Formats: sequence, C-alpha cells, structure tokens
Amino acid sequence: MENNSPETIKPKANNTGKIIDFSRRMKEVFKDPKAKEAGNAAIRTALNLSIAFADVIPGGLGEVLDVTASIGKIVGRKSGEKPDPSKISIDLTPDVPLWVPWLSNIPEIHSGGAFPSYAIPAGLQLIKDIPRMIEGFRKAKEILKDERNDYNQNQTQIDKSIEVFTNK
Amino acid sequence: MNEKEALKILIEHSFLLSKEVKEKLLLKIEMMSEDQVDSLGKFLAQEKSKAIESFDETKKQYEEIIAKLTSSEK
Repeated sequence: MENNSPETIKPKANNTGKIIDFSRRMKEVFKDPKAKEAGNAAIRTALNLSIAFADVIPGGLGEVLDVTASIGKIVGRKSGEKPDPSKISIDLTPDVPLWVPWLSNIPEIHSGGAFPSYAIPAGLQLIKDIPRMIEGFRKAKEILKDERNDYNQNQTQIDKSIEVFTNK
Repeated sequence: MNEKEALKILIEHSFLLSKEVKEKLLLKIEMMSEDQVDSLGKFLAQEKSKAIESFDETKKQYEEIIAKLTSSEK
C-alpha cells in the first residue's frame, strides 16, 4: 500500500541541502518527457564515455565492459521490437545497429586489444543523443522560466509563507 | 498567516511536487499534525528559497550546457 504520509518526507537537518539540490536537479527530468529523455541520454553518454575511455587500455577492464555492452545490446533488444532511446536499458547504444559494435571489434583482434573499438558505437550514439540533451535542457529552461513567472506574480504571499517556516 | 495557510501556498506554488501529489497533500492538510505541517513546511520553504536564490545561476548553467552541446554538435 502506498504511503503518502508527509512524515516520509521528513529530512534530517544535515542532509536537507543535499536533498534539495538533488531534487531540484531531478525534478525536470521526472516531470517532463523531453527532459526525462535528455536525462537518460546524459546518463547513457556518461556510461558510454567511461567504457570508451577504459577500452583504450589494451587487455584492461575496458575489453570486458566493451564485450558486456555488446552482449547487453543483444539481450536488451527483444526480437522484432525497435529499441526505445528515451529509456535507459541494458542496451547503451539503442540508435546503433547491432552489427556495428561487433564489426568494430575486428581491429581489436589484429591490434591485440589496443584499438578503442567501443568509441565507434559510443560516438555514433552520442551523435543521436546530443540533440536530445539540447532539447531537454531547453525544456528545463522553460520550466525554470515558468517557476520564475509564478514567483513574480505571487511574490508577496510566497515570501510570507517562506517566512512563516524560516523564522522559527 | 498561520502555518497551515502558509503550507497550502507553498504546496500550490511548488515546482518540485507533481500535480497528483499536490492534490493529495492539499486534501490532507487539515488532518496533519503540527509536527507534520512544520516538517513539510520547512522543507518546501527551503526548496523555494533555494529556487528563488538560484534562478539566474541555474539559467546561466543551462545556457552554458546548451551552448557547449550545440558547439559539439557542429
């Protein structure tokens, strides 16, 4: 059963700042579909870049991550279904065809693992994800503008309400 | 203005809470204990204060990120 009691929102004093910072950053991501898509694209980019950088070291952890990501692409893709780039899934390169990561691994064999093969699918995915991130941040800017307008129009009563709880 | 009236205003003007959560909370205000009103009120007041303080800074950060992403797209 869902617990909607306000008691569950009671923060510890020393964590309040962190909770507020985190919530403010995440609120646009959860409320607006475009911003949510942008947030997911940003998370995917961070993960893809981490794997691509790790993949530069021959025989290192990057090789394992690279192959795991390529396998994840197969596992995460249900037959006959198109991947949904607006969601975070085990497939970190949903806009890239299945054959690309496997084909880009061929030079790895000849170079003894020195070829940064994951950079190819990660780069192709980034080309698709950058416009999504731009759109999401534009949407977040619009939401910020709405909040500012709402504050400007109701400044007196909002300020008085804040004062009730801050001067205690 | 008493605490319940102040909390009602803060809930109504919160950009942190979804419309559904706002509706549920507004219906519950009269049933809330003083402690519950105080906790939620302090949280929303701090959140709103932080938002007001950082409007310009947040906007600037978003614009910088958009500019960087746009330049890397070219």
